[in-house]
Amino acid sequence: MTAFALRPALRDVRRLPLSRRRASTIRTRARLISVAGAVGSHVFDGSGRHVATLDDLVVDWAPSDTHPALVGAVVRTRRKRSYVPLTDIADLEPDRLLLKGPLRGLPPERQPWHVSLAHDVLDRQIVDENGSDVARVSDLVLARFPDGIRLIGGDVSARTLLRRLGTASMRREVSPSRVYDWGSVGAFPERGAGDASSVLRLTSAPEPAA
Amino acid sequence: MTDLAAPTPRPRRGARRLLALLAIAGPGLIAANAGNDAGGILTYASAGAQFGYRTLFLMLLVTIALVVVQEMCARLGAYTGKGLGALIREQFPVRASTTAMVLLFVANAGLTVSEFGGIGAAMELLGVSRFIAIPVALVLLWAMTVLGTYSKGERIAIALSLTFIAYPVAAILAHPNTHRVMRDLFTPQFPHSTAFLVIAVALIGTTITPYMQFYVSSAVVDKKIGPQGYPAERVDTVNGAILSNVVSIFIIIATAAAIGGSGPLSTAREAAEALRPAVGSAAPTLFGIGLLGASLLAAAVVPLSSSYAIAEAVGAERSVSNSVREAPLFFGLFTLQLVGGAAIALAPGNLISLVVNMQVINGAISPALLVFVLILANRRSVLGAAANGPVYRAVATVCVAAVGILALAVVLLKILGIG
Repeated sequence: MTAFALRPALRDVRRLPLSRRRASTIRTRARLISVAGAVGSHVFDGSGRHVATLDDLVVDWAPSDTHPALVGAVVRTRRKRSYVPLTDIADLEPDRLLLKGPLRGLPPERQPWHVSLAHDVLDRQIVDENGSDVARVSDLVLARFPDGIRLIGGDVSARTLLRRLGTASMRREVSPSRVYDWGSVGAFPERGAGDASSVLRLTSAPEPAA
Repeated sequence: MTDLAAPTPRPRRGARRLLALLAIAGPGLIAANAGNDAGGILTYASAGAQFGYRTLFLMLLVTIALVVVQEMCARLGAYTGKGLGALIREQFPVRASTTAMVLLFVANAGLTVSEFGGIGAAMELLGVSRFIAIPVALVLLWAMTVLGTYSKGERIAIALSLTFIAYPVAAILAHPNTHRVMRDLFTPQFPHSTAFLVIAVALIGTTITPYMQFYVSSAVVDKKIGPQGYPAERVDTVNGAILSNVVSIFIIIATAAAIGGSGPLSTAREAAEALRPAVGSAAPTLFGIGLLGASLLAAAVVPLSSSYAIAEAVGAERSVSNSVREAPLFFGLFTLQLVGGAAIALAPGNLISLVVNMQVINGAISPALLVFVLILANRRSVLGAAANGPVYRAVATVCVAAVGILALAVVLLKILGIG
């Protein structure tokens, strides 16, 4: 088990002096996974054959859940995009998605309670409670817990944005010190998945991570 | 005590409509008029001096393309609540959006230099040294934008654009051949020489420029014009594009009437002096006033458009209504471009080559950015029911393809040293 210190509530950063900023601590069993780095990586089926490219990662956006759980992935073959439910996923690593069996080619239907991280959250605007623009999401970070893979944080730094301009291995690097705990980033009451006007609104009641 | 319940006289329907249009007049009008900047004026004057009225039909086509492009950008701003910088960041790969922002910044920084060059040239025509005019203009523009509010700045910008009336006046005083003007305006003229092709491409390149597209979408957002206010904003955008090109056409007519067929021009002073035979001693003053208004307007709009775009792309606060403390990146970028542009324009040496190179960069990025605009305006996931319909999509695609091909052609011609 590894412990990562994440940055505290994004909305407090401008107001709190450095000495009062307490880091959140995330304990996880595996390496942190960058969503920006994972998208575009290879998908292998149960026999180890490269069958598709990872297009997006889908989480369950239950309002009560401060760290949304991974429920599936969208993959892209030469012909079409298809949905892979969590039950078909053997493992997600920073540079690959491993399936338990063959790629079933399910149609990528959007469920109202599901959010596609790359499509709906990455690069989106974060606004504070007053509606003022704070930053854009440069990257999202996932980690493995005993009950599954969860979204643990967001990175809004310009350095991470520049990192995404680099090679595939550079895109996969995660700097925990620049990642804000998603539990304290808060929420998404106005998410509007697939809608160009969707924004991430910081809530007024941040929940520190466990 | 004032009786708040007292009935106020209700304007008649026509007057109400006019008031509504004046209230919304802004982003579209300002963006399009800024297109008649120093480089634009020189190009239009050169077209008139070299080919008489023969480029007028092309300007009619360019007007249609400008209306289509500017309308798409304003619609994107109104229906998504986001400027082009924000939409490109969200809808395209990060490498593509970063490249677009860097190119826009470089091209706009260069254009800002040429706008300050235009301010200097205009004031010298009016008898004031550029070493006084440029620093004064710098302070005025900075204070107007940074310390003022959007509505104040907008009113000043609209007032500046009124100086464009100098060109129609100059054209009328030059006694153009009305019959030939009307014939060449509505009869297609085909390129009969490389020089004609070069000036045709330059006319398109200087009329449809990336900063106008970024500015209009961001300014619509800044003015909080939503879908409900869009019909009036569309009128503003279409009117602005048409009015600015009417001014461009009058510049061509004015120069053609005075010295048509005499050859290309290389400086704004030459363009002004060329009108002297027709309008006498008023020529430099008329031309100077028009050039000053255009350059001042563009010197604010060009750096503002890249400041909006970059601040949107990184998600920082950006509004001319904000304070510097609230939007440090936005105003920092604006100030950097303004001060840098003025400083380089004051430096000794020939700026012509720099300006020409900046036009080449603008020509190179224009097609790429127009493709972004077209894709965004076509996407139902972005605009919903307001996305381009099949007919509009076809017209817009033809316009963007034509502008793209011709803009790339001018870049190639510049690289090959032709024209």
